[in-house]
Amino acid sequence: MHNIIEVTNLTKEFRIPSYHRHVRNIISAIDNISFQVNSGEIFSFLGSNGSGKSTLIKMLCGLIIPTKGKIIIKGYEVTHAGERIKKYIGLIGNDERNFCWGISGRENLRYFASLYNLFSKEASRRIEELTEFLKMDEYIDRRFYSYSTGMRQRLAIARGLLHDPEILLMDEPMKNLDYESALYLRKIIKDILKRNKTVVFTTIDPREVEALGVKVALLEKGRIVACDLFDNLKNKIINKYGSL
Amino acid sequence: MALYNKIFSLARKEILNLSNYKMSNLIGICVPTVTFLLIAKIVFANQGVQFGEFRVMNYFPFAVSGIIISMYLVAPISYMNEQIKHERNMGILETILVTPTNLLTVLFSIYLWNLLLTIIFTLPFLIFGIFYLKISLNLLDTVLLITLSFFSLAVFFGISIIFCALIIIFKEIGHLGSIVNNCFRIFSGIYISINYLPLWMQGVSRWLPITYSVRSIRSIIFHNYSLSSIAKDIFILILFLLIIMPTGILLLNFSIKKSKVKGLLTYY
Repeated sequence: MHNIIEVTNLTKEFRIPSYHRHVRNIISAIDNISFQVNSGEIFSFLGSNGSGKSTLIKMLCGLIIPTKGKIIIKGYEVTHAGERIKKYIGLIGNDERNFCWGISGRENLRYFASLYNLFSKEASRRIEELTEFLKMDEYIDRRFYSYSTGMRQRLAIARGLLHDPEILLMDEPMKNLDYESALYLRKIIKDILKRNKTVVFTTIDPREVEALGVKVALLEKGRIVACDLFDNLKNKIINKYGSL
Repeated sequence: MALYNKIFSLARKEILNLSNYKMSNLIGICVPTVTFLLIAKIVFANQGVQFGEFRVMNYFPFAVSGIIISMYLVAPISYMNEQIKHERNMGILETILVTPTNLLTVLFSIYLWNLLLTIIFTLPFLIFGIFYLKISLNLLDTVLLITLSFFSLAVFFGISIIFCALIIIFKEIGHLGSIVNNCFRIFSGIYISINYLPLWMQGVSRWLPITYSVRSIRSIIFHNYSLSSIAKDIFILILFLLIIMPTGILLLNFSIKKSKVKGLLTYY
């Protein structure tokens, strides 16, 4: 196994608008963090709301440019790599609205497939494959507005996997899901891992990290306060979050 | 091939999406057509207007031609602004930026689609215009019309890119968009011949690309043009294109970079 993601001294500062001109509100969403993710590994970030999880995921996929530090994915520095690294990355964001609501899940996937440079036949084949893998047969041809939160989340995963990326970045994939759907999603993440993918995901729920039994970085106010396998950090997590 | 695939996919998505709003679209086509016909018949009938060196005996054909031309140029910008604003607010724009497709390609697809949509929505006007104005074009007229349309649409695509860049940075440019669109309509001689405008307005109209598009296309429709005047207008449109298109692309790249530095797309 080799490092597929290498992050060094990463910092992101945002200037928050203030009503008082003399007040300079600069917050560090991410504060000087470093970590590596191995190929084929599942790596999670556990932290409460506002700890910098979403900012980190968006920096990893190039949607936010860091203030300081480096992100290297597959040997390319993300800030300067432009389009070259996009084929390696699949993003599953935490906002389930970002589809076209008036058309079916299949048509949504077809549109995004074209943006990933998949032509009609290949796109159809891939959509069929993902529909089967994510068990979406029953509703894939229904209009998106009729989807439940769980269905939307599965469709978001299908979109992230359309171009068969090596790395999957998931920002709170189990947010708003009921117990049963979350359980199924965990199974899907494990299955994705079997397909030789690298998964980086964020969560606010330590039970998800425990269930997946993965390497975890504890994120607090933009800083990594601990990073190890879940079992090794279990006591620390219980101290912070209470019983699991 | 990839561009064709993207344009086709976007058009397919939009057509399917539009099918959700059949009644609204029907009303969208019928109401403005009927309103326009009624107002034009009551207010504008039998009023002569000076058009350049020529006198168009009836104001109605003058206004009809101007409105139709301006629709094809201005309406796609308005539709496109709305769509980009929607996609930005829903987080779809962010999702698009993660794909290997350049945003400019996506904007081009959206512009082409909105142009097609404008043609569909204004088809009743167009059919009416062709029959009412008794438009008959020879080969030279047609070639000139296509050339003028191409450069005019290219300039207006450049303006659309500028608007999109502003939407990415500011989220909302509703009033600015309306002001610019209305300026185009008032200053470019769509409703009133430029010759009748106050001198300061005539001065402003010289700096608007739509003035040259409307003037030339209208003169071809009324068969009162000289090749040199059309060539001059095409040359001016190319100059506008050379300024507006690179400005739009630079501004778009700047807005994407700024949004990535400031995390602007994160806040809907």
